[in-house]
Amino acid sequence: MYRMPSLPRRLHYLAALVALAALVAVAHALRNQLNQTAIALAFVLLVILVAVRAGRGPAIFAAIVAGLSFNFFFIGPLYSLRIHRSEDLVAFVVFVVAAVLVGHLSSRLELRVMETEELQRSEQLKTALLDAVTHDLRTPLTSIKAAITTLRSGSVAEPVQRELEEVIDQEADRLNHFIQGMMDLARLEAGELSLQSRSVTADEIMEDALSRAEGLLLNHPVESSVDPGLPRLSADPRLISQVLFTVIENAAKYSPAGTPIFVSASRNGAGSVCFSIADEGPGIAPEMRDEVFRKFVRAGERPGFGVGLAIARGIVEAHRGKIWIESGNGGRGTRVQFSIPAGDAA
Amino acid sequence: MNDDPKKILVVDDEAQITRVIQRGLESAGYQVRTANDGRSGLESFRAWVPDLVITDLSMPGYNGLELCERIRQLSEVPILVLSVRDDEPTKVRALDLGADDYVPKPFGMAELTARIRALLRRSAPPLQTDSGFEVGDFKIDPDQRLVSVRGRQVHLTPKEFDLMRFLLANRGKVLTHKTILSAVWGSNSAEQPEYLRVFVGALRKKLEENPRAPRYLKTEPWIGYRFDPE
Repeated sequence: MYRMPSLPRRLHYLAALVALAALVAVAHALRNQLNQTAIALAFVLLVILVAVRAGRGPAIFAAIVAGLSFNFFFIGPLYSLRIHRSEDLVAFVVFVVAAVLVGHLSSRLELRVMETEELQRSEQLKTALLDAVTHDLRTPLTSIKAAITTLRSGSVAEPVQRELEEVIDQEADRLNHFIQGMMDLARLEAGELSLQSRSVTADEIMEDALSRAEGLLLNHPVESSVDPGLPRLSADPRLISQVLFTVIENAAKYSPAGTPIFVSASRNGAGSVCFSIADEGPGIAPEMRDEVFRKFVRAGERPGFGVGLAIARGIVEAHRGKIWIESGNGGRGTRVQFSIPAGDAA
Repeated sequence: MNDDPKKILVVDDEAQITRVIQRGLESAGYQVRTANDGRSGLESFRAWVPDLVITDLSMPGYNGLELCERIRQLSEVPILVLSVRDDEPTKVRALDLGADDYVPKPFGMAELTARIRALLRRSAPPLQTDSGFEVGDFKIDPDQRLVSVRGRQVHLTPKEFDLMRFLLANRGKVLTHKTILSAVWGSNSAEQPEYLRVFVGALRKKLEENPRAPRYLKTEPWIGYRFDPE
């Protein structure tokens, strides 16, 4: 639940000892200017610091060592652990008990603070996720609901009716793919994603992904090409098509309306096929190009779940392929590429 | 409506949504054009001069909030905002920047067209009479500072009258607390919604048959009020 500072535990004890030694040296040098109370308070302060930085164990250790040092160096008779005067004995006991208690309480307080921060972070993440899921579910629902209520108003011409039915069909598929994506992610995380591999061509995969993305590509001209003579792939067609679809969806989402999207499949060295998707959007900064493949990381300001590329990478790697990001054509925009080994490599 | 179809501009980056709204509104007898982001929305607005604008809030580049602001600098055209999140602060910002109403996604076309009709009605001028003007169930005489509801005369304090006049002038529109407070009490009072609540309560007692279930002066939870004179 909580995270201690990254030093190993034994070093915490050592650090507490060094700090105490330093304090003893300074207080001893200044003993004629300082009274006993001031020195005792300085020790208590040090114990609190140790408690906050290193937790309960080192704090109690520091409290006991501080008590002994205080006795040895500053309570008469000096340089001995014996105590003659009963008031000094009371002072010594009060000091040790106070130091132990304060150390214990401060370390608990620090734990609470860390737990609260942790909780806040997970709350923030939850809110962000909820926002994104809301957006990804409500957008297709909005099209479906508006289309159905228009159809039910009864004043719709035949061709419009067909168009609205088509929208409902496509948007219902989009919802289903979103849910499928969530399930794929859960399976990938649990290491349970099983590939339903068969022999498939790059053409088939392109065709499937592009026809699914049709509704998203209304505002973008698409130029697609598949090099002739590509080797067949042994891959799970649904999953590879999902990867292609995700990348096309991102390209459509992040690049301005009217700008083209280029989708191609070509031979990549000896034994693999490389799919490439380029847009003329704002591009992704080089330092973000690895980051965006991590879960819940999004490069742009568009609402979304931030898992599409994480799932894509999981799928590509399950096929022993690679996925990466470069600049788009002429250094502008984004080009996402992924390669899948040919033949029966999967 | 068919003789003079009203022109509506729909701005949303989700192509499927603009497509469905366009078909739905065309079937309801409106003339529709669409745009996919704030910038091209503003260009269409300038070139086509629509009677009403529907815009999404989150869009790439230049979003719905900026579009509301830019359009308001040019025109008083009714603006209806679509929002996907139940995000009250964003709605309030949109309304403060000049939007007239909002509809949360997903919505039914019947609701959307009802809101559109209400907003278009508002932009029609009120009926002028010898002693002031009439809107819906309300008659108002600005010189005598008199108001009557369905023929029944109501006595309002000067501040209540100012509030009433502002609500009537902005009928059908969702008004944020801040907008009403700044307009009626001045910008120094803009952050005191509890002050407004007292006046709204008093006004409801005088105008409404059942002040607990108001018919004219409705509460928009977390946002403000909407005055509907019919």
